[in-house]
Amino acid sequence: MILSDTELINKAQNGDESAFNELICRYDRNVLSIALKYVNDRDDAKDIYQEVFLRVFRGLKNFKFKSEFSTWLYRITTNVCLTFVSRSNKQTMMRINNDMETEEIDNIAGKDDSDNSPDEHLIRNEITNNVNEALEKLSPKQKMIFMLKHFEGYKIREIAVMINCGEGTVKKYLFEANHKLREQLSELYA
Amino acid sequence: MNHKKYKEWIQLFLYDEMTQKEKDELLNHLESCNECSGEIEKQKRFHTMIKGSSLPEVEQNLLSEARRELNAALRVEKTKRRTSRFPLIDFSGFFFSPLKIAFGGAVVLIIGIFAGYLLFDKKIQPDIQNIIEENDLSTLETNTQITNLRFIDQDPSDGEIEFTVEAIKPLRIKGKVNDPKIQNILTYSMLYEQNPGVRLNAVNVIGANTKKDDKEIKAALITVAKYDTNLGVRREALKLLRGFPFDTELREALLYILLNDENSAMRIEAITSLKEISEKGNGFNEEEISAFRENLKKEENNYVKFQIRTALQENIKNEK
Repeated sequence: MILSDTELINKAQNGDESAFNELICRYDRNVLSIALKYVNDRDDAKDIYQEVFLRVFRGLKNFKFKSEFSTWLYRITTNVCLTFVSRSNKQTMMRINNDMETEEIDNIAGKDDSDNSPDEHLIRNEITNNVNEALEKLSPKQKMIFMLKHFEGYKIREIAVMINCGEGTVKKYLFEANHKLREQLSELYA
Repeated sequence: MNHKKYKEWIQLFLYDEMTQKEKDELLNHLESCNECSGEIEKQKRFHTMIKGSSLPEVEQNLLSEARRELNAALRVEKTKRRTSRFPLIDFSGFFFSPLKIAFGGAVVLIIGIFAGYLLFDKKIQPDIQNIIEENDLSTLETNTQITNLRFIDQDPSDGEIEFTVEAIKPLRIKGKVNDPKIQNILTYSMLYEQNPGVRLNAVNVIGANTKKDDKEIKAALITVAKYDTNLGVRREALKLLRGFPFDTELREALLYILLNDENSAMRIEAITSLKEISEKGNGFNEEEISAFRENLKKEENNYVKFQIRTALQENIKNEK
């Protein structure tokens, strides 16, 4: 029997640890994915992930079911991302550079490039580098909204709920982000 | 003509975020506008390029690491919660009484004296020094491993920095396998140790030497069987659980594994256990039947499908 979120939350609110664990396991991959794409750094992504679920743990007892659990969770996630400052003050841009083993690059990309020729691999890396550099030049909200739309595939109305703003505002940020990125990446696609 | 509006609409069109009415208006416009027709092609190329960039995806290893670190942080959080649960005394009304003002003043005075004592008494100061010395790396033994350094203050301008580290010191422990302290350590390793081989060993040792009515060990084994990232560890935990008394928790765990575990061997183990248990008892209950039906919709493994179908048929026979 699969328990609903509401049932799991009720159990977790009464101290059932396995219910809380199950709740985490339902959503944590998405939370980590948002964090990883936003900061482009594994350690920072883990820090965000941890902070999100600690806030959930602390706040769950006061959760009153006024919204879906997932809405609340993703709102926390985007908030934590937007206010996150890398503890190590690292450049959060993805560093696909010479120090990195090819295998590691494949792991990070999560893709099996065995069918791709070395040239295609290089081109893909070059594009990724440029896209990351351009993303870093966006404001945090532009970057977050662009990332949620393009890479995570959320609908504009879902993003509006996550970021806690109107759909019009999301569209505005999205248009601005698109415009800036297109300017910076024009040589790659024009 | 308002090209800006249509250029924005083109973005929404490519995101599939338009109403039919808006789409129709845009398509009509595109038929007669070369500028916007060119724009849609450019934007398509831009979208394709962005999709071609390989931004990081979540690997299982990273997720497992994040879960382990979260578990450790949650343990600290729970400990904090427990230690902060002092009984609350209701002072409401007390301070509203004018007769207690003098008492309030006295309390403030005592707090002031105590704070002064803490700040200025020389006997206290060496204790603070000891704490610093205890954390001086030169006093740590050579076999202590220092990991996970995180700066709290890395600005050296005031001559000081502050950071946290994890100091890991190897301990050799010998004791009775049924000693609760030993079992706590093994349970911890079973749940949180990074190396799957160590987790597997912990599961084996603890499983073979535990009374089958130990609820905490059983709960830990259930967590491992459901969530451990390593198949061997999950499977071993599941095998051991078969020796524990069957109850609601165990039934829910088996159903969870049957419905969610990505490995067919685990699902086979789960359905086999459920069938064995039902043969000893009164067949399947409604929750189990509905879980079986749910599983049948998505199950890819033929053996699991066969087992579930047999279970459902037997259930129908028993009902008749």
